[in-house]
Amino acid sequence: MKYKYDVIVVGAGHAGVEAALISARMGANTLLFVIKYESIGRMSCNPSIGGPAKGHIAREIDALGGEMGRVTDLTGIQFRMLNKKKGPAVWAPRSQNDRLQYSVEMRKSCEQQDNLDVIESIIDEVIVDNEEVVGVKSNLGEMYFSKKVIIASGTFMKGTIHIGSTHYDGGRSGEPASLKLSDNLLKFGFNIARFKTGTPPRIDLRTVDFSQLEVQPGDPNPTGFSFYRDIKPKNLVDCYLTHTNPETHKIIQNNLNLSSLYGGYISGVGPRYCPSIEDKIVKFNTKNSHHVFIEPEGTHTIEAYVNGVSNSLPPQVQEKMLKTIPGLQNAKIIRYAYAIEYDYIIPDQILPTLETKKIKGLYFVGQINGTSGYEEAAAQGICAGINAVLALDKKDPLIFDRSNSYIGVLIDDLVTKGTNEPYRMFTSRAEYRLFLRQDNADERLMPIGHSLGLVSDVIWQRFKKDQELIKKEIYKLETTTSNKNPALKEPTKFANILKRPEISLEKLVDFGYEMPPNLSQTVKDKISFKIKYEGYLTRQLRDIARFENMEQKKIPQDLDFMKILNISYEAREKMNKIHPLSVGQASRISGVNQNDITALIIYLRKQNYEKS
Amino acid sequence: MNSFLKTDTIVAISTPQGTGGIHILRISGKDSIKTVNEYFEGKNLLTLKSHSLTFGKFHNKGVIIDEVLISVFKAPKTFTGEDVVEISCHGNYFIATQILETLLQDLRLAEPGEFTKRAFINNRIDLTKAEAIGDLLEAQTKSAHQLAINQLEGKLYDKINSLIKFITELRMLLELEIDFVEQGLGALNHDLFLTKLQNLKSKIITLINSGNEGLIIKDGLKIALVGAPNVGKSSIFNKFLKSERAIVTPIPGTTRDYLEESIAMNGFLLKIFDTAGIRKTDDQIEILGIERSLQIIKKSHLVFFISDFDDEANYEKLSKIIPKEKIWKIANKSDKMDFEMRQNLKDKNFILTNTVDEDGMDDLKKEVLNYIKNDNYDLESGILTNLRQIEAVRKSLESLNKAIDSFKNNLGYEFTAFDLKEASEYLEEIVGKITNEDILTNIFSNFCVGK
Repeated sequence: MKYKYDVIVVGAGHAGVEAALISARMGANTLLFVIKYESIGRMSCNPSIGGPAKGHIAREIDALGGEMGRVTDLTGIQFRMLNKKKGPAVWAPRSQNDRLQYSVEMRKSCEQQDNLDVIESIIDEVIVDNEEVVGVKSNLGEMYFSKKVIIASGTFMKGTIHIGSTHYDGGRSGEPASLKLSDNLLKFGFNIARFKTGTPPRIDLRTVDFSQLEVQPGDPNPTGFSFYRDIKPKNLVDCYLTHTNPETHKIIQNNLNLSSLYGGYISGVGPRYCPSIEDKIVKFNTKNSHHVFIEPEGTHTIEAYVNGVSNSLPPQVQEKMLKTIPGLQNAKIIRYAYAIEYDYIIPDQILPTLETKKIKGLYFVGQINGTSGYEEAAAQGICAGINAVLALDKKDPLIFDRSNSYIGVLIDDLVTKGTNEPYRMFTSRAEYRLFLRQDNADERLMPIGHSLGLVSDVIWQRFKKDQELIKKEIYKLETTTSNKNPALKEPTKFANILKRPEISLEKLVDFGYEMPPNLSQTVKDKISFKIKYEGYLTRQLRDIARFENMEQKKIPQDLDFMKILNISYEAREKMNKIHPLSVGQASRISGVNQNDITALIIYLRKQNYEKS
Repeated sequence: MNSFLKTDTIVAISTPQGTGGIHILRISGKDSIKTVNEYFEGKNLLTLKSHSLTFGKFHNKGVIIDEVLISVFKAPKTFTGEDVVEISCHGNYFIATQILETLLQDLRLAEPGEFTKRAFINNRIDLTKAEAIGDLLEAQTKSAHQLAINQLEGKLYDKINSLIKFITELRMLLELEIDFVEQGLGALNHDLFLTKLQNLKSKIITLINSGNEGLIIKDGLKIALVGAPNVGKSSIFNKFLKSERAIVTPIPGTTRDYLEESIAMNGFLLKIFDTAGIRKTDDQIEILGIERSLQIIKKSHLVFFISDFDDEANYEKLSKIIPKEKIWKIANKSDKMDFEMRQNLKDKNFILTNTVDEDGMDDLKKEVLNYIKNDNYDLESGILTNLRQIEAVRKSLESLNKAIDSFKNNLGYEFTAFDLKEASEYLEEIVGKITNEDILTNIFSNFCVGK
């Protein structure tokens, strides 16, 4: 064999890059394929990372030793902590990024990474021997051999770009589609379906009348995504807010049949949470105004992203529509909005490691699994990268679960429940949301990252130091009594004073608390959270303990569910298809009810009895 | 929590609610014999042979509850495969409940079908039976909704479902604010939301109150008699006992400040307390002088203020301690009153009684029955009738109170959402919705508890 790698990653978007970097960092000899070298880590849609749940994921990726958080902080041009007015468990970092710089930094990370080669090529085939992957074949007929292959195809598999009645093959504007790979996967028996997504037009910022727009500045003290990395996030630009109006809606309504979506050119299912402007007007026809955000794409460009008006209307209608929006009357479009359809693999065909059930050593990550979003993609990339190498080293897999991370929620949802639309993460998908916070992603996942050798010693030491500091201060607050403040009727423990809603850690100083001078804001927030919300955390941890109890009831991999006659037929079929690893996972399969689970537990229990 | 792998000792009444010939309580688990022995006066159950019967008295800390027949079955040849004790008591559900509550001090209430489950796990049910259970299981899966309707009063099911729906709407509003902050959709109205939370709370409280009334049926309607001896209070007390069937041996009053009697009237349990404050001191001013009597009075559902004339002064004193609506004014010795006086007292809402005539107590009894049946709870309207249901709704209320607190204190919407989810989950336990792994498994729930 000509080429010999441990791991091959096909696709260098947000999923592929994380997978390749992690694999190389864990010591595997890795090869990364990209269709266009300049487009490594490209932000095809919004030049932004984070937001509720997505920001949580980005921080989790950083805690594990991934790349997204670091590059986001390096190339961010505006940072905001969303949900500041809600509670700290759902505070969510969000950034605007310099689109070009983000991609450049990601490319640099790949170029500088040991054990990692990058080749520009389109992969047409996966080479399989006896139900086990052995490599890939390019459109040039070259074969590349490896023990593990990770496919991160994004929107490229049979990608079709739609603008009005025009449509053509393309993986993303300006890049070719991967036309043969999904047919090749079909041959191995994978179930394939089609999703649709879209992106709004980009305009020339110089043609925008800012006097009619509402300014949306970044936070005064911007905080980023990465932990312990000495990157100071900076606010370099403002974003702007404007609105559509009845005139805008009329133009869209009158030209609906010219849009690819309503003209009948698109069959794939699009996301409900991120509707195109056509969808918003048709499905929410009582609203006569929608938000439109103008978001600069970088500091060295005049290009701006018009968030809120993704569409598949013909170019002339796009122009006409934009001109009705306050501030955009003279706006010039640089890139037109378009919709894109692509092939994805129905995700009940993968395991929680993201390895396919059909072909050993083959992993799917990102949009190929029916997800949407950079963070969701990167999360899968890191999971598959880690597990591919663990499998190479004959080690136990790393399963992210619903109680330790949003990554776990994401993967469990995908492999257990599947998805009927491009899957996006929301905090409400997480049962243990109060525990899965952005501020404690390091506490939840850094020990895992460190044990895999993915977290540098410098960062690990900083983490440990903070943890000790937090522990020490909490102990102090819980054991020391304040008797200095006249507002207190009797001597009271500092921790109990801090539990009052109006009291912050800083305010405790008035009560005689001696705060060490070296406490960072992050550490203060963590101490404060752990004390103030102790009751809620205890309740949440109790829920988690119950969850884990069910997760620990493992199901043997050779179990034939069809044999368990006490389970309803429908549930048996579903269980056999998904083959849950644990009773907990089985209980989350749709169409499986508590009676089925009970019968399953009884069956497993009986089997154990018979064995013993 | 899933009950499968539990092996702790469980207890349940295994005969249906109502009045039958006998009631049977079943106890299964390794502590069953030991625990029952502690409350049993008779032979030492620990030394009894397996599959034997013995007669004796069941008591709680020396207070005899009933004469019972005890069967002891030792593992493994028992229904569940564990040590099993069965207690047969008199066919009154209140007695059975008292025995159950005594045992619940040490044991856990069995979940629906838990005995059968244990039998199955311990291979005490053969294959044909197991298949029958499988069929039942399947049938149940198909008709989970129907089952819930059959099991519960339809109206209760509807009530709880509408509460769950209400909570779900509130949760949705919070989630919208949390996850879709960028779209600026929600803009939650703080005051309006708080009002909705409080409306929800009053709805749940109404439901709990219906549950408390449900409990009266089981625990008995507690009535305290207050008044001086010379007004005929003791006669009323005795008259109640004589005319109705006394179901518990009187507790000797020598060491107590009150007498307590339980009677069954038209199938309802009444617990009547003859408070001793007045008996002892004979001092009308010091009616409530004794702390214990005071407690009894406060815990009672009704207080009969007994006099033989319009004793306004003492009535006023009493009404400072307990709400007037709980006090019934009873004018005794009506046989000695003239028509005008009787009419006068009736106008002042007195209930007239005498202990001489055959029907001298009829008005009072009728009022008590009306109170139980009509005024305070409607047996048809799906009141909460079992401990599990009441417990679940109470817990739901607790979580709702936490939600109100967290919302008022601006802790953060996610915390309120968490509290509301918890409140919903407790209610879901009742209507048997399956949304959480921890909701009690209801595999065999169309098996009567304890079967």
